[in-house]
Amino acid sequence: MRLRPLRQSPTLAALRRAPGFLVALLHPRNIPTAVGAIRMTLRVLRESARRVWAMGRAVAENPIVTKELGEIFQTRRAVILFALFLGLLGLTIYAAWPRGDLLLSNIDVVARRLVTVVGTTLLALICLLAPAFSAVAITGEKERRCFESLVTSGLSSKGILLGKLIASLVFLVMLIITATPMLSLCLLLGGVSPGELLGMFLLLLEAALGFTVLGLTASCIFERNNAAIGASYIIALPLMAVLLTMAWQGGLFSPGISMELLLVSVVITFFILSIFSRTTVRPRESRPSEEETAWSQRQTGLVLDRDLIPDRWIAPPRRKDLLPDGANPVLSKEIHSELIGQGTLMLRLIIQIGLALAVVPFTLLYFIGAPAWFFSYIAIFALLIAPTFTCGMFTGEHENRTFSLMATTLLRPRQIVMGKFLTGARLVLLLLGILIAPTLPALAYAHLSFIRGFTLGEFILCLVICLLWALALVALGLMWSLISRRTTTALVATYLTGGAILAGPLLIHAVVMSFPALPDAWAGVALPLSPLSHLFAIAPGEMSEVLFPAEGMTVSGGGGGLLFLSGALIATALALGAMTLGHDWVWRRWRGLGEA
Amino acid sequence: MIEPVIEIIGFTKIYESLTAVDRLNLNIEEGDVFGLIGPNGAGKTTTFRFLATLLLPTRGIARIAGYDVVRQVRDVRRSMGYMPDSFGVYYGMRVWEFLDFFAASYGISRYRRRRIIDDLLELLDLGHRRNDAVQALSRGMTQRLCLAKTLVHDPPVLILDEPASGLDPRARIEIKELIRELRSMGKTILISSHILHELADICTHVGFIEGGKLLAAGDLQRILEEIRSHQILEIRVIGAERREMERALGDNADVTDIRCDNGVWVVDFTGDDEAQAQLLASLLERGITVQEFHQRRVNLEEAFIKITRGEVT
Repeated sequence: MRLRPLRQSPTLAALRRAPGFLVALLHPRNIPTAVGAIRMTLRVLRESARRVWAMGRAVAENPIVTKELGEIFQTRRAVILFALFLGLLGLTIYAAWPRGDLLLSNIDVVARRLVTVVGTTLLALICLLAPAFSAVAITGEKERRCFESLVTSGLSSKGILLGKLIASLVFLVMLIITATPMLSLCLLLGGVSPGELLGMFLLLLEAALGFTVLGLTASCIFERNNAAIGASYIIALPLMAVLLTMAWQGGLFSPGISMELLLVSVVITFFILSIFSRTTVRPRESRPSEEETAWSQRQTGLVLDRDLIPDRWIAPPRRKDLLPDGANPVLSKEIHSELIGQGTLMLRLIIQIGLALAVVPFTLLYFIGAPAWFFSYIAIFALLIAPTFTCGMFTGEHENRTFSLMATTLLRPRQIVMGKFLTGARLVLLLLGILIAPTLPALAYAHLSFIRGFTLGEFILCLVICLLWALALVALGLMWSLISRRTTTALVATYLTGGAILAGPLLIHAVVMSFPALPDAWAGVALPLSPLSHLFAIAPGEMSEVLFPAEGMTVSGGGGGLLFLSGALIATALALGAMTLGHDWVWRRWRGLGEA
Repeated sequence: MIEPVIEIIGFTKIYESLTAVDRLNLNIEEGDVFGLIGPNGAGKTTTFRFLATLLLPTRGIARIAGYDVVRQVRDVRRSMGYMPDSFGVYYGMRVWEFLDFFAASYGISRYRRRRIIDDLLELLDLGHRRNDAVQALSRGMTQRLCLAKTLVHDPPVLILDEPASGLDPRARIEIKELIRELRSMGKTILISSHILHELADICTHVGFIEGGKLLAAGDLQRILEEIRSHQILEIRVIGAERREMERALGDNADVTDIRCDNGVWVVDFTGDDEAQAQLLASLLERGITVQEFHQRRVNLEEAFIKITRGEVT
């Protein structure tokens, strides 16, 4: 039944004419009007309920949701993720749980701190996992060549996107729900109201929604899984850092903020869904013509010009002659590969964003006497870009079905591993070089003029720490690529392990120092693993004593930095050696199971 | 006794609960073109991947040019060129770069590489596409490029898994001609295809595989002769009633099966030529007007159907 617009309703018109609403209802003359108003209200409610029910049914019966959930929950990955998630959470609560005298005194503060720590840990895990699920939602279909079948099926574009969004969200929501019993333990201590816990849950759901939508947006924009995942994490990681800092300060987990953010996140979600359901979820040409690609790249400025520096360094000019005798064919192939040579949106985007951030805010930090922040940015930038270029190097051979071709040649594992490592290292170091080079004169000037207590040797040491950290990340990305079956798995695994090495030790330190029950000796145990703690120990910087504790280091300053350098070098060499020796073993594993 | 170039002894491959290949034995001699025929999932690709050193067996051994495919991997790879059924190309490479990459991967010197690439491009009729990007090639040309890559180190043994799959008729004919050319060059070729009449044109030997088991293998002509002992007769008659015809054919002891397709009686017949003549005479004696009476030529497709049905071993 079609509803009459409200302003044309005779019932409403009669009510308007009445001297007062109550009077109008009570007066015998207006009883029919009152009955009409009640009937209209019931009709509106019934219609609303019907629509909500229809929407719920559409979501529940959406085949995308069923398919995706089946894919997620029927794999070993889901079990492992649940186990890791709950294990980590349980460990955090166990470590931070007040003991002894603390249970009697100052319990409110301790309980609140515990909730903050657990909430921040949950938030970090949700922020890290959310893009991993949604960033491959559309690009995955394209890579599996199912996209066109999907789009030309009976499902609407909005239905496809909504299905993908819900399927990605369900897993995260289930993670949050499974964490409820553990989190409820915090209520036993007192000092925290159920309303605050509810606010935290709401915020976690909003974070899950926001980061899932971010991944989905990247998935709609890009054509390939690794590009979508890389772009998602490049935006998600800095955003996550801001959110975690706010959460750590304790200002984020309040019902008021959660309610405000709820509205914003829902509106943004619907906005993005409606944009991409109209523009992106349509079958495209599987591969645009070269002229079309060149035109669009020039229009957007996102093109690499092989004849100009520094593009020439990143994408070397095409070979004009055969490979020289003794040259490593894999190295040549990788250097000239499509990822580097085609001037991808990804590569240029990274350079542009990276440069913009490096030149303006971080050089300013350097000038105000906090160079440690500048170097930290370089270390984080290395973590953002290294996996993007290395994680597809081995898995790509399987995904592009070139594995059989290369595997039956006489190439030795050493040639293959070194060819791929040198290409990745070259590209990542070049990008870091591009990032650092424009600021070097300014940094040298600042170094000589403003910054005291920071010698040139320490400056070079910080720089070398960043570069070796990048090399270790290249080796890490390659290792994950070798042992993973899919690029997406390798990418997510590299971001998680790299992120854990970079920030994990500092977080452990912060957690241990926040809880008097934990022995202080634990705080500094893992610190030497993170390049950030060394950079802050060597270079001056306005730093939080909790997050970047120089005093926590067992070997501080230059000595610690040199130890880190040796460790990074040894780790890289070991990783390369393990890959060379294990290469055939891994292939045999594939040989045993058949090609992916 | 001539040593086989490809020798498979008791090859078995089991994936968890699925037996992909079961105790397969096969010998292929030098210069043979051996066609492995079987439906999808029969175990052809598993066998090929095992020979190409890409798969470890659950049981069994194989030798190519005398080298063990599990233990002497590099020697096997040097002696063999493998073209997989499904493959990709390195995007961003040009045709000559693609061949140069693989030639360098086999350790061929730059001087020899230059000549080899030129020769292969000419042999595979890709010379005019030399500087084109590999991703711009048509499916047929990509197949030819992969065949060129397979030949780049001049291996004596070629393992070609469905080299003509997905190609248009013209491209299939070109690939068939190429294989004939390679056969004349003395290569030993193991090939699989779904297009059986094409295999019949180029193979000297065939093997039938189904459910992971090799049902029959041997010289192509010998197998066809064997099949021929189970002849199919096609008889077209005028005016005879169905019951009368069934009685007339059914009375003959050599007739094993009768069916009528669009007015043509198709008869499975086990007798020789004389018995055929007697059958024709008996039909005429019964007053049946025979318009057409001939023996259908047995081809590889019928052989395949009969063997996989278990009618011939």
